[in-house]
Amino acid sequence: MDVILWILFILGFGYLIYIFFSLDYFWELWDSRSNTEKIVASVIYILIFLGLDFGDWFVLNLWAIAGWSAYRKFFAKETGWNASIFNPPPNSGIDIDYDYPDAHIDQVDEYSPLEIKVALDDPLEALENLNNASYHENYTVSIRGNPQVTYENTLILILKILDTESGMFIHSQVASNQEISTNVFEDRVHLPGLYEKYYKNWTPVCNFTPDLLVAPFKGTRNINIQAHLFHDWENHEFYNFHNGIISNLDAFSSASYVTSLYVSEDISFTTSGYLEADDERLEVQKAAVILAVSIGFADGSFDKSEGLQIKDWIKTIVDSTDESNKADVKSALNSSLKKAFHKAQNSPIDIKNICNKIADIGSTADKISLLELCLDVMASDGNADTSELQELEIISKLIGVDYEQYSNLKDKRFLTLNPSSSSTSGLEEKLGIDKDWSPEQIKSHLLKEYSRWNGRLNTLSEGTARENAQSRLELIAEARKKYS
Amino acid sequence: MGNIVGIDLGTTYSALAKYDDTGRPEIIDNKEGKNVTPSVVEFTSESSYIVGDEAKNQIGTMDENIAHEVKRAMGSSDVEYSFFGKTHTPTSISALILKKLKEDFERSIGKIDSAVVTVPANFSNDAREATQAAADLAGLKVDYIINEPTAAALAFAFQSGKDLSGTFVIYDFGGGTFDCTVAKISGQDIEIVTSEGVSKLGGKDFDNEITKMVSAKYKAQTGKDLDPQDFTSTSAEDLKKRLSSRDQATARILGEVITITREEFDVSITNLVTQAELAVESALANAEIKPSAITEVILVGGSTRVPAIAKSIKKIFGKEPELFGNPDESVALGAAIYAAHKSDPMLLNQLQKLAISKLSFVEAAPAYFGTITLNSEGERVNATIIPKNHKIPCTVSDTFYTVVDDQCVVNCTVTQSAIKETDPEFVNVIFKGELEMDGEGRPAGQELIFTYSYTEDGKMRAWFTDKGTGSSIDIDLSPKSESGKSNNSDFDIDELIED
Repeated sequence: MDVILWILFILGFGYLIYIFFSLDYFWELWDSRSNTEKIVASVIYILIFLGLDFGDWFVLNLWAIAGWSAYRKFFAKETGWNASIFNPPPNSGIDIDYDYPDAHIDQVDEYSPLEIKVALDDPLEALENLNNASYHENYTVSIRGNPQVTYENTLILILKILDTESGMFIHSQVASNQEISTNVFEDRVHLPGLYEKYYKNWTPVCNFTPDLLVAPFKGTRNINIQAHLFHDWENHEFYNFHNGIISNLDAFSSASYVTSLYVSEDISFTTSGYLEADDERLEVQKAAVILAVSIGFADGSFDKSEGLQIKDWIKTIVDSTDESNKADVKSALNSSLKKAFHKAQNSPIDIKNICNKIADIGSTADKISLLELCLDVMASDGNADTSELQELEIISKLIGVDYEQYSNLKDKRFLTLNPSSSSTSGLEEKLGIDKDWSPEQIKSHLLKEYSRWNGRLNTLSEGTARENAQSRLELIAEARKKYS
Repeated sequence: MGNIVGIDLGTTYSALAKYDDTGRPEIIDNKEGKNVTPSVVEFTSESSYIVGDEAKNQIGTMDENIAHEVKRAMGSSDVEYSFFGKTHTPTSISALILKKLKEDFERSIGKIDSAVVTVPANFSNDAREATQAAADLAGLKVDYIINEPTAAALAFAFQSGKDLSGTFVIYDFGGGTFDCTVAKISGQDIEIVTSEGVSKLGGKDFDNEITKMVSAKYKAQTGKDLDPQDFTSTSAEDLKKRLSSRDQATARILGEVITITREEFDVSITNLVTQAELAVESALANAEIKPSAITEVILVGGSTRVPAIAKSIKKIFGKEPELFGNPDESVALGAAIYAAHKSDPMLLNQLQKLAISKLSFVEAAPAYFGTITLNSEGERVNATIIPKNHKIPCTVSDTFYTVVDDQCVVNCTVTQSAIKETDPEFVNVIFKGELEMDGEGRPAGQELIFTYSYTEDGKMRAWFTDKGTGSSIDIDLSPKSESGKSNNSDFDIDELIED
């Protein structure tokens, strides 16, 4: 009877422990000890077993297991488990593919030093999407081997990317992947404690997308990925980097430092480099001046008001430039103005090539600024000439500005024109009607324009702007008559 | 029982209707025995003035002392008139017109207990406030300002005598403004679906075209320029009215006979009629209704008598429009019905109550109401909170966020626009204020709740709340005279004595 009761007691108590305190923690304890410790513990355990009666021995075991489990569950920091094959904790966001059939081929043993590699995630997919602007390549950084750490604490891996040729660090466009005080790329990965553990397989620790990074220069660049491993027991300010360099030089000689890993790779950057941006912006500004001159000459004559408009714009650009670059920018823009003026006096400027270049290198903000200059030149004499409007339409299409955005900019200039100059000539250009449209398309466009201008009329104060808005409604009605 | 009235304050003519003891609206003639009063004021001295036909007859001869068509400038703070050294505004001029209507009524019937005044559907908030201010200046107790097409729809549904059911277009072509409203009517249940209006399109523009034609013909015949005193806007209006029923009409100017044919007149107003067509098509597109689905087109406003209008309507809808009663009167009649519907029941007898007991209507927001905020790229944009045509009454909220850490102040704007506008430059800012926040230590991204409410009679409120702390500001945007904008005049109506 006693035996039966004992069995029941063991089963019941054992089940309670299993439910609340997983035996996993016990195995973890066992696995985390060295061989020597396991032998010593086993000997002591057997001696206790021999020295105690069964019941006491058993209860002692149960309480030991329960006590250790409770401690692990509620008090101790998370550490890794499962010995030699190591995984980052579940919340690292990195999935390990255990179905990889040849994993064992690529495995190392506990004596292999820690190493790093970087690889494009899916080269085949990248090749298939070469011409797909919405596809972004992704690179994964992986580590393998034994870091040979001497402490049980968790680790922090700080990733940096250096542009080898220029010796400057890559920037990130994403705030969460930047240094605290600069926009240099940085990724921080928390790894579990690796005391007497190692990565048997290549284990991804982080990834990056070149399209979200900005190198010093555009194009294919050789980059050096630097991964610095520290024990994560210090205040995080201890590991701060500034422009790629650690702020606290003692960090690399401190007890918390583990190792640094390096790997190089050639990667293509499609965004203009941060050192290039200024050069390209100046190119766009020079092109803007040339196009503005072309607009000025579109109606057959270049008015002084149009020239003054361009001159004021150049002045604004120069005034907002760095002192060190002011003279160069001023000289470059003035030179563009003179050359364009002389050219346009003799023959039309080839706007197509210029616009194609701007479409390629110009940012959206630069393109809008260019269009605004051209529209200001168009409106400077108080008239919206048909040929000026035609050319503006071409420019906006070629440089790739959204039609709605262009229309809004154009509409604001229309409000400033001389109301008495409003005529029905150039109806299509003034109202943005494409002569290739079907009658239904024209009707739909005119209805949309009418709703827009009628709606705006009520927001405008009495005066030129309101008169011009009213004139627009009359123009639209004329066009409607013409095309019905 | 009380005297409940509705007033159509028109650009060229105004009218007043009373909700009679039998529960029917009726137009009350003015002192001169006319059903409509010209919206014209002639100042005869610094302290005296005339309103109505007499003043209208002076147009062309005493223009420097006459104010007319002021409705087109209602809500504009930069429009002023000066007569005998005194400054007047569209609001104060409108107040004189309203006062004339009020006094004529009170002289013949009695004190007005409750009144409703109408405005075009596309009137801005400023213009509605200016109209309310004018009513206050005139000593009228006006609690509600309603849209003219809504009033016309009410009159039509109430008085039609038919069991109405379907989708109707109220085509209101008045002296100065044009409104097109789509309404679903079933018996006395009225649901306004959408309204589209043109603020400067009306019979006066037809008169101007006639004046241009007559001037051109006079010059061609005599070689001289036409003196405006020899052919006034009243003359043009007369010619227009005659052309409505004849194929041609003549004007005799200093011995010269100028003939205008109906065909010439129709050609001259094509652009204006086309603008009206575009507004109608826009309204139908907003309502997502095809012209063929419209049950009837109801004509409102004197200018609908012009034959070209009927032709235009037939072209769009494929059917003749319906002339319901006197188009000059339907807005005032509808306003009187609305006034009765909204008045204190103590002012109504049993018959009156019974007549409006089944009346119900649902209005639609006449404009887009929004606020100016920053988009994800840090650019100022207008964000809509109450879209146009949203059923009212309504209360709509939207969530915004602070943009910087420790933000202590939030700019709160209420905007109005006739179309869905994202560019802040093309919206009317009808309120600008600040919400003070306890921002210290609070990171960017704090939730702000903006709530707008709009009632069927045009009363609007806005609340701006810091969700984290509960602090908020509460704004009443209903048309009221305390706004100050509409009252900028050194003119005191009580000082004037009618001639």
